[in-house]
Amino acid sequence: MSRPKPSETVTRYLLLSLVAVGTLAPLAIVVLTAFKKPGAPVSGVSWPRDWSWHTFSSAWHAGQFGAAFRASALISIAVVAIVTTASIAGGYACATMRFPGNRLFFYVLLSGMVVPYVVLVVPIYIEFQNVHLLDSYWGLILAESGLYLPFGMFWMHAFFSSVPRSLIESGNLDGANSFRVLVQILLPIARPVIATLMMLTFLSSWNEYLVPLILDGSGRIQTVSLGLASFQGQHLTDVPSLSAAAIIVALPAVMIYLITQRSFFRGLLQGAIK
Amino acid sequence: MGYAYLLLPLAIYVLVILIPVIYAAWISLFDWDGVSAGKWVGLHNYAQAFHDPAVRQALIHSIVLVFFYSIIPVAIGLILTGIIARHPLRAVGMWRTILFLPQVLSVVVVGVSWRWILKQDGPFNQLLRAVGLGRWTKVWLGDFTWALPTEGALGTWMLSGLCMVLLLAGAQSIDTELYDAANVDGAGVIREFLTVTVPGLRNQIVVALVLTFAVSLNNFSLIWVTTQGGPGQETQVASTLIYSRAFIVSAVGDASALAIMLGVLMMVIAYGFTRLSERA
Repeated sequence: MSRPKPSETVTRYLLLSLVAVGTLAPLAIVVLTAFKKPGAPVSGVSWPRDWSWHTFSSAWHAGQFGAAFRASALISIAVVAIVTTASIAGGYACATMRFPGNRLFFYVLLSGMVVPYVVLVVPIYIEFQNVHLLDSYWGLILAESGLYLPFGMFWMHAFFSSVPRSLIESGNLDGANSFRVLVQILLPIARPVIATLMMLTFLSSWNEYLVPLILDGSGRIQTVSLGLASFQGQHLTDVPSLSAAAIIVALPAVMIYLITQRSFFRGLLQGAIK
Repeated sequence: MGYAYLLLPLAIYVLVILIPVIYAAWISLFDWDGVSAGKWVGLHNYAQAFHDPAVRQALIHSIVLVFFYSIIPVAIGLILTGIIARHPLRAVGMWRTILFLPQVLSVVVVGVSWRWILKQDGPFNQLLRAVGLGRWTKVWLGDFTWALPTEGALGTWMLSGLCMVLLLAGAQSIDTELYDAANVDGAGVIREFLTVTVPGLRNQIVVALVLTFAVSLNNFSLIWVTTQGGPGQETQVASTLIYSRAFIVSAVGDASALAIMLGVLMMVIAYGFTRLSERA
């Protein structure tokens, strides 16, 4: 293979660096601003004169983010558990078993993937109002699980379809029932794909705004996104506090992403590039 | 036997998608404010939607955003991939981690951050003044002409990195001998791009288009956090229009009809996409 010319190498990495800077610059600006004193007038970007961590703690208390973290963590963990279990079970059945309607079930479940959330959440609101599930953890968990399930089904179905049939049949020959085949043969090799699904579902739930905005209209359960949005409403001109609050909300997701990114991308690219 | 595995997914599907959609279809036949007794109007809400200028305007805005959210990011990703992926790349993991980062952030975080960056005394106008474009400064998200393209540019910022990650990964599986063969044939950079890179990335291009298209029609949160559809109706899109009809002006029957129509439209478009990718 031909070796790149030095000028070409410079162009390639220069272009990549430009895109990377374009991606990071807005975030760096917000980080810099968060280190200014709460309430300080801010115009444009400038280097903070005295770095103040105080803005973070004052925003944390003023926005009641402690309670919001607990609420969002509880919802996210429950949604990840439900979506992962249901997607593995449903994807496994539709991809590897033959029974009347297995393709129909799959396409019916999948159709939920192309419909904008707003289209579903307005009707969900009307239903939940009648069965008293508004402003409740159960309602939020159930609604988010339903909205993320079609993608999870699609994701696991794609994985189980790619498994060689001989692997499943060898398990059947040994007399293992379908549940043992799933647990002992398939799940161990599915681990990167499942881990990525869990990560994507966690990010969706932690960052979800539309669902709690509509189904938790009273604001009784303050999730991190609702908390940040109402914090913005109360501190429109206090740019340092607003920046600190944005970072507080983003930090858990970014930390988990940075820690798990190696296996996350392995599963993501394995799932998306087939 | 297989049905046992479908119990949990089907139960969730029935509760969260099927029953609500049937219920919404029923309600769309009423003139209803969500509280008092509804009045049966048949298909009037649907008929009215076809003549409603606000609906037409919101759809046009949605299409403009598809251009910014889907077409431009995929084009940027393709061109950069064409330049970058002809040779093995160092530190792939690092570039990938940076480019994908906006996907990890809550849309509320993105909205809150950009809203300040694009204010009159924000960093973006500061940059314009610094490079001598001072007369272009404005409140970007509050300007009647510029608010919609600015919302679009936020989408381009969020999604270009995602497209690059997908396309770069796909490009690694293109056989490098194809590039050498093209070079032997005397193909220039552009011929090589069109005959080797683009065909080799066909699947990834379809995935990237479908993903970004879905995001662009799901973009309620970013718009709601930054402009709430304003100024005037300049950034009102299909999803924000349905939300405002249902919860701000309490026209629940009308909003349900719009939701059903948008859902059907999306299914038709998705069906078209799958047919297209099967043919390709």
